[in-house]
Amino acid sequence: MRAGARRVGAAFVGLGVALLIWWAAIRFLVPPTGILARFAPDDAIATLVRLLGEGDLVAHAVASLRRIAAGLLVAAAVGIPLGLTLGSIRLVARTGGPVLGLLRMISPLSWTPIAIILFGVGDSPVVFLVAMGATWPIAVNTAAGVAHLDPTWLRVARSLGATRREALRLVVWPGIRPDLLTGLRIATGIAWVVLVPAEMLGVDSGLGYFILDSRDRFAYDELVAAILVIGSLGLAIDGLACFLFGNRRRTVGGRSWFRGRSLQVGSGRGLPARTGQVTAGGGLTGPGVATTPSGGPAVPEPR
Amino acid sequence: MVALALRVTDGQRAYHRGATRQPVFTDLNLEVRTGEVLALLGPSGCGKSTLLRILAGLESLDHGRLEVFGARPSAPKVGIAFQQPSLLPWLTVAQNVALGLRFAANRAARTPDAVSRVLDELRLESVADAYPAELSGGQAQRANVARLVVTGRPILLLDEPFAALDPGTREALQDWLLDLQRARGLTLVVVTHDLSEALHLGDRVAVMSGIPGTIRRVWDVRSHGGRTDRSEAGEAVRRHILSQYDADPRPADRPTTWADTLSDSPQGR
Repeated sequence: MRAGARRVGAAFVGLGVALLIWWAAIRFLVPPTGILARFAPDDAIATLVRLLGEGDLVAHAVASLRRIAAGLLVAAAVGIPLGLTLGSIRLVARTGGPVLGLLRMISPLSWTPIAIILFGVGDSPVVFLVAMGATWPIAVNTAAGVAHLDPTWLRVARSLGATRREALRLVVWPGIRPDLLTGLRIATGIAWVVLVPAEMLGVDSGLGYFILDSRDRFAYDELVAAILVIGSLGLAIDGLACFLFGNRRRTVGGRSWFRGRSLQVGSGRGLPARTGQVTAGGGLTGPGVATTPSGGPAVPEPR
Repeated sequence: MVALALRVTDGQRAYHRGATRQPVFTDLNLEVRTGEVLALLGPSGCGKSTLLRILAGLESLDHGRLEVFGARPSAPKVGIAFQQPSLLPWLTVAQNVALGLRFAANRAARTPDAVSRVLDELRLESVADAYPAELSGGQAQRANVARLVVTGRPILLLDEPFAALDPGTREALQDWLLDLQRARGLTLVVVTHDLSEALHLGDRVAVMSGIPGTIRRVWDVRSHGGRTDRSEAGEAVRRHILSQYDADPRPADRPTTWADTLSDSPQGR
């Protein structure tokens, strides 16, 4: 609890320092009558409070969140089955892997002309672009999860009489969950980054649209307020993704499986080891013999 | 007449690698009596684990016949535990033990206290809420066996269950396994390449020869007192099994000097 409070406190200090640097840069490096002076944080924060009170900015944020949710849903609907197929069928992995590698290296915004040709204007091309950015990390991580699945788990399930569906539900699905959730978390971040520029194309709502609109109206304080909302919402979405999809479980063998708890492996007077001498550690399975020399505190023998 | 839990008749199995056919075992005959512990002993690569997977129904024979309690295998009566405990790392011990009961095939064994009773019986109640990574090797292997026991299967196949454990834990678990077998009247087939483990656990020890594998001899160990028997006859059994075990693979029908003097049964019959 105390460590959590310290972490939150440190985050606020970091944000405060960033705000101070921003304010100082505008105050001391920019001429007061210049256009950049209108990007000052004090003006932006006051405008942000006003816009939130009026509700206009909230409506744009909701429109953006709706699109990101739709894009992620499409990405998951395509990416998860694709990843399952890539991870479980070697031929598909060998033939489809390079294609996937090529597609994921293309900036999602490169698809904009094709999105407009296919879907015209409105929500659909934005959702398409978000999905194009978010599908690949989900597919790649799902495939990795399937590939990492311990084959003996499936043998155990089969030997216990599991049907194919039962094995999928009770062994495969939970087995790939850590990788899948990592993919979803990465996808969420990418989707948010893609969303804002995508909303600058052919839509009349959303935070991306609001930025363009503010620029056209020379309302730079509103533009900066929108940027602050984008950053804050992105941070909140990442936090939510961490909470929903992240590693709240303790990592075992590089993967997360179970909720954290502390275990006392060993205690006592320590292990005296003299220089130039072989010190043997013995014991039954599980007393921490292996842990002591590798992870335990080194206790030098008193001189 | 002895009731048989498992019988393999003229079993053949080969693996195919491209155009190459690599026989794993040929003309394999084996009988496992109901309620006994059969230790399956043999060098690495002789087909012990393959045979076990076939007995468990995970693989099938190319030729030959497998019978479970005198009939073709149908309802799940055989459970198998692999060398590595293979507990699902995201489940606690209790949840791992309950896993089998979540499958429709084992619905007959579902009772409200099935898991807690088995955890209690197998002395795992203190680690019921622990995750596999928190267990010692011995605890993990006990949980692995508990996962089978809870399904109520009368025949358990254990593939080198204690190979990765230290000697002290291994001996403790061997006795634990025998207690469990007696208490539940289980039929056990235990694969091992440790002669002393085979002699300690097995009512009978089946010795497999090398590639392609076959059952060379089946020695009735219990009638000679097992490992605790230090008499001349007991030592003779041990020496002979050791000589069989260490020898190069020989034809199964080659007469041995000891064969007629001991109550063994060639080819498992």
